[in-house]
Formats: sequence, structure tokens, C-alpha cells
Amino acid sequence: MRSVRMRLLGALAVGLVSLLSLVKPAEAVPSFASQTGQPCSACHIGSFGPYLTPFGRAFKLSGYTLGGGDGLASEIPLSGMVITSFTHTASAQPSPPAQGFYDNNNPALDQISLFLAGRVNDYVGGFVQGTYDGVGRAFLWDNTDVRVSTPINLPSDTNLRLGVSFNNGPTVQDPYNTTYAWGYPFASSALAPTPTAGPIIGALIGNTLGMTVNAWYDNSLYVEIGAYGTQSPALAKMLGQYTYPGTSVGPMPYARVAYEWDWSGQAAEVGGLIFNARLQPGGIPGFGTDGYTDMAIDGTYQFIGDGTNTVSILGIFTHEIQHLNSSVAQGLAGTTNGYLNQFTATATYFYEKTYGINFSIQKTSGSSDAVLYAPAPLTGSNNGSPNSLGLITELDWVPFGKNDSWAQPFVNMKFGLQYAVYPQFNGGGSNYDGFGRSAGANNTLYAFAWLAF
Amino acid sequence: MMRVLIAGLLLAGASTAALAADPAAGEKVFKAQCGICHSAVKGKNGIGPSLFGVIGRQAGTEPGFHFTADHKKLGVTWDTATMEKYLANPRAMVPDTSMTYAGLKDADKRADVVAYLATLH
Ligand code: HEC
Repeated sequence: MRSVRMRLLGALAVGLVSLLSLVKPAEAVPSFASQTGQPCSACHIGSFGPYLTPFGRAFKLSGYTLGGGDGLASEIPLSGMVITSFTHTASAQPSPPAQGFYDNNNPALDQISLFLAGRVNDYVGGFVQGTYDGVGRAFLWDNTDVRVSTPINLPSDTNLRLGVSFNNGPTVQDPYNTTYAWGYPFASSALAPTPTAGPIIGALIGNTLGMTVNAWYDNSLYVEIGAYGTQSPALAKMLGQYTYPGTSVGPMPYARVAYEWDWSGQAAEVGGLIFNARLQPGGIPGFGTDGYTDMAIDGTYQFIGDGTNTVSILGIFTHEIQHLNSSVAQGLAGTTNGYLNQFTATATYFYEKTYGINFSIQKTSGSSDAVLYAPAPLTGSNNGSPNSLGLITELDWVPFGKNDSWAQPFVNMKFGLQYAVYPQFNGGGSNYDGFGRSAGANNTLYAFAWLAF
Repeated sequence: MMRVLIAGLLLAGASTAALAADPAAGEKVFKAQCGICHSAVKGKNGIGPSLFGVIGRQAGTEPGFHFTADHKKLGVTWDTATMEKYLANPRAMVPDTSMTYAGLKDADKRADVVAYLATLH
């Protein structure tokens, strides 16, 4: 069995060089549960991915290498996932959001994913996700993080681990759920409009390849640096990637620092990151480059106690500095120097790791640009502004995934009812797009059933 | 008489094992395999309880740490023998344990780790 697993994961590591991509985050990996012999709730808030507990973070930072499970299942690094949903927006969209769908009230098979996820040995582990996107009707390479991790024997009693991660987008390797790849909302509708502007770092998840090195000191201080490059347009297309903001010129550096406190049944984190990108938008040479610097500070607080009542809070503020030389030269933007701010904060409460409620605020603001944010039905802005405010409320029910659950850890389900309200959308409240649509018309009800096995 | 003799032999055996055990080697194993979850620093609980002073301590009593109900029921005071038994297969001793660790199967390494734990006072 071990050799089959080795081969699978070996193939994974080789394949890694040639793969990757993602559109939405998607997660929950029961093969990790059988590998460790732990229920999903050991690693995940609310017994379901991707929201990590302190132990979930330690598992990730130690390269997904911990064992502990018994039997055949603990040796098979395969898992699957399916999301189905129903999406309703307050008013119908001007045209159906995707081929084969209606302009409102859409049932959908959002995605089917297969994970290759497990440990290779005491030093190497990871996961690769392949997804069939039921909305875009295409296969794509989804989140991937393969890690090497080793303890370092310091003369003192303090722990130190060094690691390397190969991944397909900045923050796919991050252990905190404040950042972009694994942030809230954990599931959202691919068929509803969402505000157009966002920091570039989030748009480069899935269509890049990166390597980072990290140190984890005293189980508290996490320091990481590395660099990313975009996949070639042809490769990105082949891998099913449909967001492709541009081709990078030179390596795109990434640095992350975070400090975590773990007390009895509680944890807190403060951190920051910085990322720089130089891109040829659309992969078109001859116009110079667009430069972006993203700087973020983030914080996490988790009260876990004995697991009966858990409260967790996530927050991140991102400031982006933009120098859009190429976009201006190509007529895609009006002003060279701009900025964008984004703030998101989410509070989550779970009772008995089963019944959950989430509140989230997602606020974007930045410099105006009448060309970059031009009027367009649904997706445009009437006043050239990226400013948006979204408020999300979500109820969750996770019937399985606990120690005593039926068929544990193989049957995992999460049912969610999510409602997003937009007081402001792409710069305005009423007629925000210049075609008479109001922000409130985009208020979205998203009901989902999420299955992992 | 016989019992005393056997006890004596066992003790002798235990003490030669203890003599052979190497706390410095144990520290390495500890940092590699236990350090993700345990600190050897007094009072520093993480995912697992601090193991400072664990030998000689009653199981499940480290202040400020949420042990599982199963672990609290153990009722042992950790010594070399109980610790060896526990670490060989934690789940055998505490079926519902929250310690995600398959067990340290290598007897020499186990003795080394236990010897290292005994130095943490
Ligand atoms: C993945 C995290 C993890 C790893 C790895 C781990 N432990 Fe633990 N350990 C725990 C947790 C959690 C508990 C509490 C168990 C419970 O309450 O059921 C624990 C409990 C213990 C206890 C009982 C302490 C007491 O006060 O009763 C000892 C002793 C111990 N571990 C030793 C070790 C040693 C030695 C290693 C390495 C060989 C190790 N552990 C590896 C998480 C871990």
C-alpha cells in the first residue's frame, strides 16, 4: 500500500511543475482524517474544511506528515467533494450568468473535486485538487500545496521547524483563514454578481506557480518568504483557468510573518504580508508593465474551549498600491497611480461543532478611474469607483465529522444558507452600473449542500 | 522471596534500560515527533499540554489544558514504565485521546524520549 501511495504522491510532485489553477476555494479532505485517525473537527472549526483550528494549522505547517490512523483507509490518500446549490438574486440579471443557466433562480452542480492528499513520509506531504466546474463546464487544476518540513534541533528546549512549500497561488500555503485562498466566504455562488475590484494577489491564485520557504519557531512565530510566476497563457488555458490577469515579468516576491498564541482552549494570531507583482495585462508585451504592491495586516481569535461553544473571528486589511503603466498605454485604465483598500472581518459561532452562524463584512474602497471601472451592465460602475460594501449572514448545519459520527470520517456534509446584502456595489447604491441597476438588486441568497468523502 | 527476587531482577532490568537510554538522543526525537504539539517549557501549553515535569505528575492535571474525559480517567502518576506503555500506543491506553500520534514503536527511541522527559524538571 505504501508503495502505491508513494507512487501517487511522487507523480503528484512531478505533475506539480506542470499544473495548477483555481477559481473558488474548495476543501475538506477526509483522507487527512483517516491518515491522522482524527475526526474532521480536530482540524476544522465546525467539523468541515477549510476553517482551521490550531491543530489544523500545526498539521499543515508540519507538512501534512502526521500519522496516527490505522488500517487501509489511513493509507489511501484520495478524497472527493461535491457542491450543489441554488442561487437567487433580488432581481434577475440582464442576461444568464453562464451558458445553460437562467437569469435568476438557478440550481447548479457547482463542482466535483478529487483530492490527492496525504503524507509521503515524515518530511513530505501535500494535497492536489482537481475540479470539475459545473458552472463553467470545464475541468481545472485547483488548490495545490506540497510541503517539505523538518524539525531543527536547537540547543535550547525550543521547537523550530523549517519548511518549503510548492503551491499554485499566493496564500494557498498559508495556515490562517484570514488570507485570500482560504478566506471567508468558504463557499459562494459562481452564478451571482460580486463586486468587481479586489487586490491582485487574490486574482493570482491558481494561475501562478510559487515556491516559498518558511520557519516556524516555538510553535508561535511563522516567517515565510518566496516568489511566484504566472503560468504561461497557454498552460493556464489548458488547465482550465479562466481568470488570467496577466503575465508576470520577473519573480513576484511574497513575504509573510505571523505570531500565534495558544492558551487553554483559545488561540490568537496577528500577522502581515507583502506581495509585489509586475504584470503585462492580458499577456500583451510592448506596453511596459503594471506594478502592484499589496500589503496586509491580519488577525485571528479563536475560542474553542471543550468544543461545545466555539467562537472565531477573522480580520484582514489589505492596501494595494497600483502603477498601471501598461493598462494606461493600452487604453484599459485612465490614471497610472491608484490604490485599493479592502477590509474583511468575519465572526463565526458553532454549537456542538454542528450548528453554526457567520457574519461577515467585506468592504472595498479605492481611487476612482473612469476607464478601469467604466459603466457596463451588471459589472461596471457609473461613477468610476471600485467602492463596495457586502454584508453576509450564513447559517450552517454540519451533521457529521465528529468523533462519534456515523461512518466517520467518510461521510461529511455541510448545509448552508447564505444571504449577501450590498448597500454599495461598484461605487453606487442606485444605478451603480450606469444601466439602471441598483446595488440591492444583487443581494444574493445562496443555499448549498456540500459533501466530502 | 521469589517475588522479591523477580522484582529485583525487573528493577535491575529497568535501571540498565534507563542507563542505556540517552536523553540527548531523546531530545532530538522529541523535537521531531512531539514538538509540533508539545513544549518542554514550563506552563507553555499548545495543542498538547506542556511536558515540563510530566514524569512524577498525575495524568491529565496540567493546569490550563483541556484534556479529554478519557484521558482524565487514566488515574496514573506518570513514571518511566507507564510513560513507555503510553507512548508505544497512546490509543490503546486512552481510546478517545485527542493526541494524534500513532505511537513510538522503536523501543530504543522510546526509552530515549522517556529519559529526556525525565530531565524536564
Ligand atoms: C498532534 C499533536 C501531538 C503529538 C504529535 C504528540 N502529542 Fe502528546 N498529547 C497531545 C494532546 C492533544 C494530548 C492530550 C490528550 C488528551 O487529553 O486526550 C497529549 C497528551 C500527552 C501526554 C499526557 C500528559 C499528561 O499530563 O497527562 C503525554 C505524556 C504526551 N502527550 C507525550 C507525547 C510525546 C512524548 C510525544 C512524541 C513522541 C507526543 N506526546 C506527541 C498531542 C500530541
